[in-house]
Amino acid sequence: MAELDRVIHEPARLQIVALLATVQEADFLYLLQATELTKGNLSTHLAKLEEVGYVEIEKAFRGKIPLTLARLTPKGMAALKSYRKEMTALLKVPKRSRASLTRSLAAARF
Amino acid sequence: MTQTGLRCKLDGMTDLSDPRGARVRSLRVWSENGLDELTLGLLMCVLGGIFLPGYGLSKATFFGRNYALMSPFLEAACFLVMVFALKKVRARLIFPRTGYVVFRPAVSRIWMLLVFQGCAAVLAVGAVFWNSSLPDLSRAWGPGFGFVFAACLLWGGITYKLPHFIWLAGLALLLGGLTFAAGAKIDGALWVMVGVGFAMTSGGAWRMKRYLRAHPVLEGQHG
Repeated sequence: MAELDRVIHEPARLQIVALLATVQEADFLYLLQATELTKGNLSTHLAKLEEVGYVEIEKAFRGKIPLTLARLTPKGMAALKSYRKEMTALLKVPKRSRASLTRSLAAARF
Repeated sequence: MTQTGLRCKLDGMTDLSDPRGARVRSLRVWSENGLDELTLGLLMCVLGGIFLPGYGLSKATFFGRNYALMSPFLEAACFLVMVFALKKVRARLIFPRTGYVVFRPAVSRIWMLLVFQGCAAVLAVGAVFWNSSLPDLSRAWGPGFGFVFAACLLWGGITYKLPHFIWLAGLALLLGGLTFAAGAKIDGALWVMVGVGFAMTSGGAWRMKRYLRAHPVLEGQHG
């Protein structure tokens, strides 16, 4: 069974990546509203996603207002698609293999 | 389950087998501000409202003779003003409340356009060949437009789970029927357009007013 991508498997990061997959770009404030995370939490998760190359962060100004724009990179999109595929496959496992599925999910959790 | 976990389940986990789900949900939440509805409604009012006077003006007057030539320019000018105003409203009223976001362009629906064009071509060819045996269909413009609008609104209402679009679809059918009963010809289509556009504009304006009241400007920038 393929190993789940632990960067995306974390609930808050999955939420951020799933949200960014639906938009071209969004600023920090939009993500803050949509995810209901705290500023610190969102910053940390975005930094982690940027570190692995799933998200591109751009610091800009709109007039005098600072704007932190986030975009999903092609690598991030591919990772999300692959994660979806793996999770869908995992959830389609027949009943008798439930025990091994539980073990896999437990191993992937951190 | 924590709030974050629950939202994550809504946004990502339940959409594992349906990636479109996340997009539909995002667009549905976004449409709460009513701006897109307001814009579309205004556009329909402008389109119908500009062409409609052409049927009432006397051809004896200079204005009446040349209105058909002028209306496309009027339409283009209105369209440009609307695009400019829409950008301003978004920047001044919406983004300070939601944060800045640009959605991905909709999935190409070329097949829909092709089917539409195919039907139009079949009707046009049919009208050429069987013109003499066809009954007078000039009164069918209003009901025809009403039906097309109703179909589009129903599709939008069901796809994006917007129940008020179903009411608008009903209104489009009703207006189509009324124009038929009133004996309107091609102007029946314009009346349907103006009627549905007016209802959509009113609904969008009400929704936007409610949204602006309920959502204060977000404070603080950024991470």
